[in-house]
Amino acid sequence: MEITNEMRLMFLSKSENESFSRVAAAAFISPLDPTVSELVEIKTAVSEAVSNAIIHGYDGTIGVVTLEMRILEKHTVEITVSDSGKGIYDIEKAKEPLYTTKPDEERAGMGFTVMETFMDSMTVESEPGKGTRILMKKRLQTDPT
Amino acid sequence: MDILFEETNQALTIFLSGELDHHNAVAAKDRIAMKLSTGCYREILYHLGGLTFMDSSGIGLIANGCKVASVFGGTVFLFTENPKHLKIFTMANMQELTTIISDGKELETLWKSPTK
Repeated sequence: MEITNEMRLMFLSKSENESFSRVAAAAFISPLDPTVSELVEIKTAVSEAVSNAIIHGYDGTIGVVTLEMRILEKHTVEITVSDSGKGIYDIEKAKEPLYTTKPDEERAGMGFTVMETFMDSMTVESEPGKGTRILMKKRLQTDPT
Repeated sequence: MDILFEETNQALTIFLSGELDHHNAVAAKDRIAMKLSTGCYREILYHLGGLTFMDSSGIGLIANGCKVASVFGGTVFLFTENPKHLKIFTMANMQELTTIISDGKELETLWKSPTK
């Protein structure tokens, strides 16, 4: 699928960057004239993926989180959030609703479920000790023609 | 994110406004837990009408409030009319922990505490 625009944003795994990343994501797709609902869903999915990298990937340490976005033909948005943190040992388990490795920190364990629900597709690639990459896609309703 | 407490007898309304994410939820959780741990409140309402953004951090924040409130026998209500926020809460089965109120009229009817 042809790429019509793309961007890459790298920032430190500080929680104040959660807001920055989702605002940047919203600004990047704004030329596509997304609906309010689509905008909210994409901002929420980005926030979940970035929070996941900060909380679970780096787990209190400082590393780099990368947000990459591509606008593909047919108004499709592709979002990748990657980190070089701890990685996930059991991806299928991590994706189960309400599963969390940090119940003492009141984590809900709903991050992947929210991403899957608000986006058209989501895949997780991870290698323990090397990092995690979350790839999400969503086709916007608005027709460019 | 801003937090405002409004007390009437033994009822507490917690108004949350602005953006609720993991970054904001950490401080909010402690502040709310401290308020609830006085044990003075029989009924607690989380009023999320002023939230402009919320991700799954909202689930953890409310669930923690329910846990603290349950220690003192408090009942927790949750008000939001935002369809995305409602979706996030229902995905996590929050209706099992709290009474979710999803429209303003329902709020007027249900949030009439006998203690007020």
